[in-house]
Amino acid sequence: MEAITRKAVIYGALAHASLLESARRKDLYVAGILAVLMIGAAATIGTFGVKGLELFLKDVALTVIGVLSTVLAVLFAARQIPEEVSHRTVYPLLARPISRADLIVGKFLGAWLLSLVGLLLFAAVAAGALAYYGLSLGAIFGQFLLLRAFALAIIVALTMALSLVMTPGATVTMSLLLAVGSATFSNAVKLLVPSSSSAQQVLLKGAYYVLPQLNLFDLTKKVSYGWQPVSTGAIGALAVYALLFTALFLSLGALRFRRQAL
Amino acid sequence: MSRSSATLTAGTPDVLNPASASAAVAAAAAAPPALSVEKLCVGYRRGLFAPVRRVVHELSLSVRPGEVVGFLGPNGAGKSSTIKAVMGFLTPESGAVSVFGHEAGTTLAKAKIGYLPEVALYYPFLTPLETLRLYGRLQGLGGSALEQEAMDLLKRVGLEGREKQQLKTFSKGMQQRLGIAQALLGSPDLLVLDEVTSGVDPIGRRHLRELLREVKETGTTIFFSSHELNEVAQLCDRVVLIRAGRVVDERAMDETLRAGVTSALEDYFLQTLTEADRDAEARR
Repeated sequence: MEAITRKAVIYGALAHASLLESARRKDLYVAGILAVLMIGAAATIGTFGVKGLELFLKDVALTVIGVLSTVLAVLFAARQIPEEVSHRTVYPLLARPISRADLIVGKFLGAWLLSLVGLLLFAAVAAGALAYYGLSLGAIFGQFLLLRAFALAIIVALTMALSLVMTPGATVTMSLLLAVGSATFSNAVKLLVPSSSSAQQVLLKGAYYVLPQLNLFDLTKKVSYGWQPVSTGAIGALAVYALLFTALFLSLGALRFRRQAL
Repeated sequence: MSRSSATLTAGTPDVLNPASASAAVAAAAAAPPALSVEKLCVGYRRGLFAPVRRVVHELSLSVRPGEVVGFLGPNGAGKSSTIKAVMGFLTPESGAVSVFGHEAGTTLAKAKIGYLPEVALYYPFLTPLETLRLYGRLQGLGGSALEQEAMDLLKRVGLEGREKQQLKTFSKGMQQRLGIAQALLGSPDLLVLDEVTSGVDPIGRRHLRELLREVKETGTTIFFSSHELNEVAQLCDRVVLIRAGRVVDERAMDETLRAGVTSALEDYFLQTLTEADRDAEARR
């Protein structure tokens, strides 16, 4: 119990420092500016008349929430560890009785929480803009945000793991490709598998299961068409799926970082 | 992480009781060294297929509890690499490093150390108090005791009144003073200081020297590298001189300094290095 409390204190302290730094560095201004641009775009569409375009507007708003929150998460996560190393702030941190894995988990929590703040900001703006046109997103919108939060955990962990083996630029590019292109990849695999040879099928299916299927966390269409909320069992299963992939990527990152000379 | 009672009592035997005094001396002799480096080899590889460039060659040294040891050598001698190995920031090619008997880099070893990096950089948007709170929590401290200790340390290093000022406004010297404060947080058993007065003005340097002398008097073991021979002369019990990753000389300060004249240390430093260069040339 004492060990768990100790870990919680370590992770809390590291995440708190990350959040405080980012807040004071005004990182979330980017999210604010993007949110204002969303309102502006919605208002522009409004001036041309939106009668009959409810479905389109909902779809656009939800897609924008998904894409922007992903971009923010990748940008926050990509710099967590590399900046600590290049700015040399990592030395006094790792001189304390904490492991390198502790540092990665603490930094992950900071970046994830920061991404969640951005997600909620976008969600509030989108919901407000839609409400302006008399449109509501229904109860399933809460589940949409919850699943986005799960997906962001995977994206942050994946980006942090990549940031330990790639340059910051390559990390951002690769993470965005994997995060945004996940659905396209899944659909492509489903289409290609039936017409592939058995060896190719093994490769494609292997890649399909090794990479996280982020499209599973996307409720955009269901929210747009006003579906009923998803069952709690499905949400629970996705939570476990997200937890496993997050743990896998953080473990790979910790393994790489464990023996890295600083 | 307060200093262990064993370390404190080992230095203060009951002199009126010969049995207890000899037991204390025996215990001190049996206690593991504060820092032990044995046949340490450190190398760097610049690229996946590039050969390893070795910067530390079978370096061995030992620091006894309560001792203050200066680690000297010209630029590129391997001082920082050795200190990084002590802190667990890099994995040595071979050799063993331990801190009070615990393998270097482990949480048990790090719990005993207060460390000041060569170039101390901290989060620029945090205040000194927030910075000390962060390191304190990582150290296992908390509550009002941490707040009190943080305030006391800021006062000791001359940063009183600047607790709520963001570090981005701090000069290099002020950051270095904060670095000393974070190193002293939790009263470590061993202080490892890499270029302790780097970037500090003469007044600040003097202040730091007095602070380190106070720390020394509490029985804390100090292992530090410096280019400031004056500091070394005034603080150290012993110096270890390295060149090209090898120990070239090691001796007690009394013998080196001859009545505390700093220039004598400078002469010793230059003379020993010249002799080491001559030996290396002759071997070639």
